[in-house]
Amino acid sequence: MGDRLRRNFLRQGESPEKTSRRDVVKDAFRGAGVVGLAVAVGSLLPKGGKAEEKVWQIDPYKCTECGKCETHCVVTPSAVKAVHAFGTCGYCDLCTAYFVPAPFSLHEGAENHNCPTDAIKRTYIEEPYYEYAIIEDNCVGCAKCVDGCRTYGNGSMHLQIQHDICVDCDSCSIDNACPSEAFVKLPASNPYLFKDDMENWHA
Amino acid sequence: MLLWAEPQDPPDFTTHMLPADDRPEAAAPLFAIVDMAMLFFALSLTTFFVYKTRSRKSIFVLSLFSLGYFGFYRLGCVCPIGSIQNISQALFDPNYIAPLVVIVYFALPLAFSAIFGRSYCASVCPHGALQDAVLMKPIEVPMWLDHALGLLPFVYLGLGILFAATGSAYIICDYDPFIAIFRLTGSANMLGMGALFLLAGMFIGRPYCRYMCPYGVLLRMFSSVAKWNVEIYPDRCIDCSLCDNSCPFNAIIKTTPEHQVIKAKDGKKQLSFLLFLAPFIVIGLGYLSSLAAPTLARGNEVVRMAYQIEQEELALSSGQSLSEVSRPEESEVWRDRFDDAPALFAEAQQIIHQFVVGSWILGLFIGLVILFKLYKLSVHRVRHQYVADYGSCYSCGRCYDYCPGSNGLPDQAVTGGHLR
Repeated sequence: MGDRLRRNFLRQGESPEKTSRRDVVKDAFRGAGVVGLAVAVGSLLPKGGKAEEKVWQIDPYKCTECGKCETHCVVTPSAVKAVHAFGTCGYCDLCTAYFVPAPFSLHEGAENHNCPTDAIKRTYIEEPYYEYAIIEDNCVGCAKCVDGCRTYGNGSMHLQIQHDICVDCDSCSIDNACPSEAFVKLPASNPYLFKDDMENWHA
Repeated sequence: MLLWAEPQDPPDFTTHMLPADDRPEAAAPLFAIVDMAMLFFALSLTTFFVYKTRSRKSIFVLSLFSLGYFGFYRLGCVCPIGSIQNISQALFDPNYIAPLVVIVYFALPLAFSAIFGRSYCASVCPHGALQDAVLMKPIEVPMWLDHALGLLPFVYLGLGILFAATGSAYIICDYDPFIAIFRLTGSANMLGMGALFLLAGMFIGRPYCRYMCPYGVLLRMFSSVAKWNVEIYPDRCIDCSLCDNSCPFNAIIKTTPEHQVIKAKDGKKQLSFLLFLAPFIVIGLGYLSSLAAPTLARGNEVVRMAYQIEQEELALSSGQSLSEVSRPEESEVWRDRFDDAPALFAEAQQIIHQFVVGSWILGLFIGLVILFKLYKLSVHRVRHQYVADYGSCYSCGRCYDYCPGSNGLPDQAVTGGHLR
């Protein structure tokens, strides 16, 4: 306290041995502040230290394909991508996620595509089945394919937040805009809700 | 109504195997530990620069590093400013748990502030670093404006806590001006606000820190009673006013000019008038802000929905059909999934009640802050020497090089690294 004493001495003409009232008040306030901080931290730490980190995910059963995932994410293009839960796909020849309604022909030409960014790859498997895979780099999360698949098909295409892209904002701006409360928090160790994954159903 | 049919099995293929799902992992939990370590490291290094090497250059270089790491690399999240909201929500909502890293980010800079002053602001905070880096030609904000705008952070802090404690929104994050710059992407509003703050920041030192930052309020409280601060030693001060010229943040209290010295009797009169006004200011503001509660409550999703459904129910009871009412998609989803108006209204009522109580507290708090400000302005202490304002000083180190009493003195080691 030598420095402060000297200052007081010079400012107020007090004896250098005496601690000023100002310093005592200051010490008291500091003590109170530190105790308050310690109490707040102490009450939260036991839970917070043990709790597993939670991250955002979309519950595909609540999603209404409104299209806001494409436009409201803070990451561009959106961290929300279409995924394909193959375990519940019908492998249709006429896939309504892939083709526009009433396509000219069941041919991979661009005029027949439902996806605006060419993010679905169609592969022949065996008669009469075709497989549809999402090309994630092209996908912008507009959910047009989700709408197509849900309207006429099994609903095997749905949206998921890809956690290598998501920055996991506390206040997720898509969640703020989501009309159907489809955004949920999941433990970071198991952060996906795929429709063909029995363990995560109705989680 | 069930929105989705239960999933069905894929066809039985002769040879084809189903591909695996694409599930990239979330960022490793290791990052949280690295972040905490980096925060502690940066705070310690700043304190070392402020008190030991006393080098503005080092502080500035470290602030650029923090801008790069906490800002552009870690995208400005987690940050202590936003952590206020997590902490308030965790204190009020038993279902919400604040993660360890958030608690540490909240408490550590405050702990440093209680001991060493605002090291966090000096060169750890990416927001501060960004504004410090663009500060070109600081103009002095007039004191009356500085005092008035200085009340804003208290209001912002109160609102941030109110919205977070009721689980409504994280407004401090939603309206952050710089986060869009760190991410190099964002809505036009966010980027525009960021540009505006940076533009203003070229001429006004750290406009966000001084007139917006809610965490700055807490740091200011701790720093003003800190164990050590950057100070001006009266025995070395030669009243040259160079430090005051070098400080772009009005953090050095000037000497009192002759004509402003007020007689003790007049000062007493002013103070007793203030004492008379005190209850009116505090209770009046509490009441005023409680009037705003229903409006503020619209920031909550449930309350917004309740207002919407109330409109629709009114329309229904007057004989209109739902298709005639203009309604958002939210309402359609709600009617599909819940369609229980009384329960919704009850929940909304409860939240509005929380907002009424919260707004009263907010108003009383703002009243007390204003009162304290008026008290400080009414106590006319005559100063014959320049004094550092411990609460406002960001420990940026600009004044070190300007002070003629600061360099080359033999007992520098004795008095440590304080500004002398």
